[in-house]
Amino acid sequence: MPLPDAQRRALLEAFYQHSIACEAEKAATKAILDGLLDKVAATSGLSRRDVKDYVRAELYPDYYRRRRVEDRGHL
Amino acid sequence: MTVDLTQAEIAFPEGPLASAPEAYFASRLIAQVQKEANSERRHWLRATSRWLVAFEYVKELEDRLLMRGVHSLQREKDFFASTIAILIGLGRLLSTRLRDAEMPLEPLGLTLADLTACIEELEDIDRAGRREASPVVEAKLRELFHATA
Repeated sequence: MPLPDAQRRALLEAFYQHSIACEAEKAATKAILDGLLDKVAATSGLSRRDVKDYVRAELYPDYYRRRRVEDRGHL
Repeated sequence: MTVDLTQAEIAFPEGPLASAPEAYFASRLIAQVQKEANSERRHWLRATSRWLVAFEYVKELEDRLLMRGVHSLQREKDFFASTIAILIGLGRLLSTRLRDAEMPLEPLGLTLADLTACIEELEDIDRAGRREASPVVEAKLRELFHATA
């Protein structure tokens, strides 16, 4: 079953926030990301690692570029 | 030379032996071990600090590669991949040493969990770069993420 758009966006945003977080915030942002990944894995029957690797490799680069441009636009 | 009474008392809790030769040598030995332990702590903290600087550089490189996308140079991608592999190895070693020594990372402004999360982020990047999934899993993932809700 396809993932709802809101959940997909939340997951990509969690990846982004974890990536740009400073070192002192990495554990906190990772906990948020892991929580979302666990939910997706539980509902889809896929492993968390499969979901994580797929999102990072296939979906995250485009999302990162878009968000980075948005962030820099706000600076 | 002076004898640290506290250390002597720690070494010989049964009696007041501060002036005994054993107490003197024990206290010197303890002081030396403490000095070496402190020196080692500083060494691992310095190493962690350097690792974190390298991590920041790698994150900047990741940003550049992601922003350039398909226009990234192959040699940059290769350098990125090999640097990540080295940083992961060093990070694991650091993490183990710091954990074994129960060394707090407060002087660096972060916790061991933060450092572990940094290492795991690099591992995720490394794994995603050479991802392989079975056709069945791949089809499930595509269905999960590509179809509209």
